Amino acid sequence: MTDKTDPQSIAGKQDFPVGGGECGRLIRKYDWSQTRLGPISKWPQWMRTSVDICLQAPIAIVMLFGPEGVLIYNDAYAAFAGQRHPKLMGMKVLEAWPEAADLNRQVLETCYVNGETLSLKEQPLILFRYNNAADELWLDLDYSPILDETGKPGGVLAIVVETTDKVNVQRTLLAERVAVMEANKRLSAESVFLRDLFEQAPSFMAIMSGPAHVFVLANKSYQHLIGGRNVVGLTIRDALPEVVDQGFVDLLDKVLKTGKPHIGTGTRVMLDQTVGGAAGERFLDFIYQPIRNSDGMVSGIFCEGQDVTERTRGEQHLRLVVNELNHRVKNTLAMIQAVAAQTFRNANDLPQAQAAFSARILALARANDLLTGENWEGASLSDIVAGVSVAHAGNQPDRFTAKGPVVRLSPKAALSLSMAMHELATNAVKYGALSNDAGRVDVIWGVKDGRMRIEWRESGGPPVTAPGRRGFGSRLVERGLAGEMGGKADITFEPSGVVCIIDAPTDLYEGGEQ
Amino acid sequence: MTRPLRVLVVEDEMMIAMMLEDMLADLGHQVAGVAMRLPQAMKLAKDIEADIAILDINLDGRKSFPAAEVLRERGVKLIFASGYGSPGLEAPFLEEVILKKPFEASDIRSALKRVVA
Repeated sequence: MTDKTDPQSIAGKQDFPVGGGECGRLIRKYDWSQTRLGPISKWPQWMRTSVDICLQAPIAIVMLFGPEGVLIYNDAYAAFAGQRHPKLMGMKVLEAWPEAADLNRQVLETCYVNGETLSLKEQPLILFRYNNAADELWLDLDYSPILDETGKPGGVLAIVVETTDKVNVQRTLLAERVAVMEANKRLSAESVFLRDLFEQAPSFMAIMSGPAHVFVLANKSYQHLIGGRNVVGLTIRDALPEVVDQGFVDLLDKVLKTGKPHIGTGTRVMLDQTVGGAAGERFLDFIYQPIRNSDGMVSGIFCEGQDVTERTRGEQHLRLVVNELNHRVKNTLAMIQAVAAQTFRNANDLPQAQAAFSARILALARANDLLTGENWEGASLSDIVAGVSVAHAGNQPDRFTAKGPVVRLSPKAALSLSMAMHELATNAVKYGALSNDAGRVDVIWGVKDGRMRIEWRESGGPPVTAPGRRGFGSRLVERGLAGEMGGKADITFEPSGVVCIIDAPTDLYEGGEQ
Repeated sequence: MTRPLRVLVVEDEMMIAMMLEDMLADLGHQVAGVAMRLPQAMKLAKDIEADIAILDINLDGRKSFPAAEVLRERGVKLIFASGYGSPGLEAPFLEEVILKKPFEASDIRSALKRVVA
């Protein structure tokens, strides 16, 4: 047998290339006569050398032969190509990787046509290597022309290094960095938000640190409470020296020592400088809350609370008003008891006594109304006389005149005088100047040399005769009113009419006493 | 009936003072004097002939204790009437008899009994 062989017939058993693993076997078996490269036995030496180098290399290498870039590659590249291998072997590059056709066209142009190299670092590509699924990867690609015997490019050699993992790591790192930055931004915004919240909170807040209670933070409300003093960085003793002796530092020490919060309700504090700047008294609802560090040790105290001064003062005022009201109601009841006791004491005629009792209670009520209208600060003499006039001579005001300067009476004096004048007027209506159509009552008063004189003078009534027995009215005026006013009160039954003269020192009826 | 006593009334409320007078008279006692303000009470306390004084603690905003001191010094026995919302007894009168308002004649009778017993 001669060695003259048909290239086609030895295709299956020829010994080039040697080795080369799976791809080597594939190349040996492949029917290259169907490609532009022609049967393997006819390949020129430069091409065979290139294939040997490629197959022996441990890195992924693919070669594009001829103007169409027919592919020959090694096992490392086959691993990279995934399920596209083994079909890729012997295919034209543009048909082999239609998804990367643009890139490969550029490769052929640059390296095959122009004979230049091309290096692409971390080139992103989307390939369909497994189960037709899109696969995003990054590659370092280095292309160089393979020269034939004439020194012209006969193919292109491509070294493929997949950097997807590295890029992914970098990407992850970058994403993490971005996430951290965003988190920082968010935290910083949150911290600003919290600080604003702390700063603008309507309740006062401060944080003190360590055994000396050094102010770390104090919000606007807190500074407002202490009259705008700047306390941050100072110990409580230096910042608010006036509270030391009021027990607040002892309280802080206790909270720090025991780790138990202290709650104060309506607690009074005297500040050297407080709301508005001047020294003053405030009432506070507050809590001293221990702050624990990560070891569980109490490292500081959070102070938070509200200034309840206005509320507390309102409550105190309300209590005062309620007590005062209670006092007045009971006092009025005692007066009514006294009026009843004396009206019914010697009553021979019960219906008459009942009428007198009703009239006296009404007189008391009128005096009360007058004083309530004046906030119980007193009443003027002319108002008292006018009240009596309206009650007893309402429809004939010209029969009752009152004349005198402005005189203020204390509530007690006003009440007593009202009652006394009620008795005088009742008597006038029943027996005196107001019992007929012609009589009149003139009330005249004046103040002179520290004494006040009030004159009640009836005239024009029926002739007067002194009663046999002094009644309650007379007694009330002559004994009671005199005692109340600290002076004298005399009733005389002159034939022309009843006259009552009250004479009292002004320093008594004005509420003052010697 | 117990023997008639001479009683000084110190009460700032005109009507109540008069009622007290009536009640004492009804019980067969004698009203030795009436004072409605502290200065009057002080004046009476110094020279009045009385066995017992019934003193309202609050006299138009002032306490009756100075008059009570003078009276006790002179051997006059004391009964304090407690006003409405007014302060209570103070040293050295913490042990004295209290007549709580509102009172009736029988309350006065038992208070007098306790004091003269």
